[in-house]
Amino acid sequence: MPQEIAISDLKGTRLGVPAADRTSAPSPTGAQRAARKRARFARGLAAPGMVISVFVLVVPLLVALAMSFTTWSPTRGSLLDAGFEGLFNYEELLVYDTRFVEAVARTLTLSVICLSLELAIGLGLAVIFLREFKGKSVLFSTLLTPMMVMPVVVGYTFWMLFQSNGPINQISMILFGTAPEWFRSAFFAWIVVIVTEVWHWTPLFFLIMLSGLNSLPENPIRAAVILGASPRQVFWRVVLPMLKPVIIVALVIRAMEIVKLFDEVFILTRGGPSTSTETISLYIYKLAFQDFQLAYGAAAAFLVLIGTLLMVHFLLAPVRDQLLGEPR
Amino acid sequence: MTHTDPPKLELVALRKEYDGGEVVAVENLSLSVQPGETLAILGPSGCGKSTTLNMIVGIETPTSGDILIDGVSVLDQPAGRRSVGLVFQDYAVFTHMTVAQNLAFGLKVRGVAKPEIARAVGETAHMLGLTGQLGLRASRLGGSELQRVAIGRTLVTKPALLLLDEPLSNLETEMRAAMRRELRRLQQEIGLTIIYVTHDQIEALSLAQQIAVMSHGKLRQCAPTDVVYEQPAHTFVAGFIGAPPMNILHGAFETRAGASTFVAGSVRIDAPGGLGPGPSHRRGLMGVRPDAITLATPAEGAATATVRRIEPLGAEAVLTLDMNGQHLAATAPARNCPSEGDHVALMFDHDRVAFFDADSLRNLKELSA
Repeated sequence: MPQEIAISDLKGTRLGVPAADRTSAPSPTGAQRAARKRARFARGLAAPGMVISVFVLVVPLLVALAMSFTTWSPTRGSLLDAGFEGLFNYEELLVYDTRFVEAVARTLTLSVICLSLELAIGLGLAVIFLREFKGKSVLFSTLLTPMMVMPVVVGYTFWMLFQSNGPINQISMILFGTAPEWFRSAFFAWIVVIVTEVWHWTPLFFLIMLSGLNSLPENPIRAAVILGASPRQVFWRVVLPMLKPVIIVALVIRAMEIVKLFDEVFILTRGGPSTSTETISLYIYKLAFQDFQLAYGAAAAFLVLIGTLLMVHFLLAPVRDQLLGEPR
Repeated sequence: MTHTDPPKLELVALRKEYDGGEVVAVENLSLSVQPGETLAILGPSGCGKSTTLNMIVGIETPTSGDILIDGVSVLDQPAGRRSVGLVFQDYAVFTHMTVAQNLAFGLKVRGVAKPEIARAVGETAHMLGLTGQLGLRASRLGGSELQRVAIGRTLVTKPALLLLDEPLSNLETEMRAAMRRELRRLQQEIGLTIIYVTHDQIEALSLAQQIAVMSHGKLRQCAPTDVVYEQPAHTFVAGFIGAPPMNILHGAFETRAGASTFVAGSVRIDAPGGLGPGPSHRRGLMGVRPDAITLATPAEGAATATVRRIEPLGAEAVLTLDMNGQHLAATAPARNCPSEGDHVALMFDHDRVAFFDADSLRNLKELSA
């Protein structure tokens, strides 16, 4: 198949240099010349995409990095005329900007609460799904639907559900004779954000946990049963530790997503009341696109990027060996 | 051991069906194992031997029949409460734990006190030569160490019965011999009752006192190893055990004046009396091990055969002989062994032949007993 040939050629090249060039054969044979020709063709095919991604990804990233060392704002002329201010923005953010520090702390707290709930519920559902019961496949598809809904739609739906005269409050009035103003108090606004996030993303945990549980080797579990462990002991001492790499990967994926949490909070609370539900993404958005402090926002974004990298690094540390294949 | 002791393990008419009776994995299996005995369950893959182990340990429930340990039925006891240990073919060691944690697992889940656990783990590790590896993660261990951890993890709980599922099949050849010695030592040191599933007859013959041979879910024979070797209960057993397997000669029994003789071509061998009443001429089979055949120079009207093929195996050679169309394997010393095409006389060791019924294929000794 021609496709396969092209792919194997690409594998043989590094940074667009064909394998034959690197070995620098004294007199290229016909086969080598043909291989080079194919590699050149492959590079030609990839070139437009690479050029576009350099301009779309790399250039803006570098511009933003450069911008973060200035105090430039679109209202103050060209970026090229902006002066170099060193780490001024970074110092400002870390030392003086309590709103930034609070947003970071808030986002971390939110991720701890949401991820714990999502993991617990998702894993619980997955354990239930290990058994056979009636309507399992229908329930399975139903449970996965939230994940497929756009964040904006989820945000809007929950915003409507939690209105002061919305369905949730109407039911609450019938049941308890009272209902809170969800978006007027920090505590209730947090609950709305958490409920929305958990509803939206628990299915992802459920799906990952279910496939993880199903791929566990059976014999260690049987061995634990034979050694006298109760079902609970089997779960906590054998199943859960064996599932650890899967759990950590799921947590890492979701933690990275929560750092970027924007749409739902933007629609639900806009960070309010006051700044009580302002996540880090929301704060950076406000800095950059409401206050036009683009340079300051870029610095904040870079700090978050570094923080996320560190977080992922430490989260993955306990299972890195297992994921990368342990050297004997 | 007195005769009043109940057998350590007794299986009574055990049966296991799958798919509502469409597949019968184990059929009417009855056998008993005495304390301190090692039983090997031997059979080709799919003969129901692993299912039998799973039923004994309690991870599968028999369709009918009973399992008694020390004379008490354990069917209503779940796995883990039967005092039966099982070592899996793939060891199933908990790779997320250290060796010490693996060994301690069975006691920990039973709520045994910490000092007691530490003592038992230390003792078991010492017995299995794992003391140096106690702190290592089990995922770092190699095949034979994993095997030892799996055995140790089970022994720590002091099971009444130790079941081993193909314990040596995942090891390299040199490791196998070492592990076999180790198992024999353990068996002698702690007087453990061991049941051992294998498809490797060498393993069965070298480790077990009793061998149970199964095929298609049925028990063909359960007897001491030498009986299984010399007097197979069924031609299946005769063909399954031994390499090369037992020769089966087709012939007939002739009874004259109360004495029976087995006749196959020029072979005439006195069959033991008591073949039971029957026609004076009836078809039968004779089984003879290749090493119970002695070759001689053809003389005075003895049975003769032609050497068709010679397979040298170091000290001895396996010869394929053609005797009036029936093929036989015989072993002979590799030095001064006849060459291909030679005519040789065959002498059978009369004490080491087995006779089978031509229809049921079962050993006549068993039928008359």
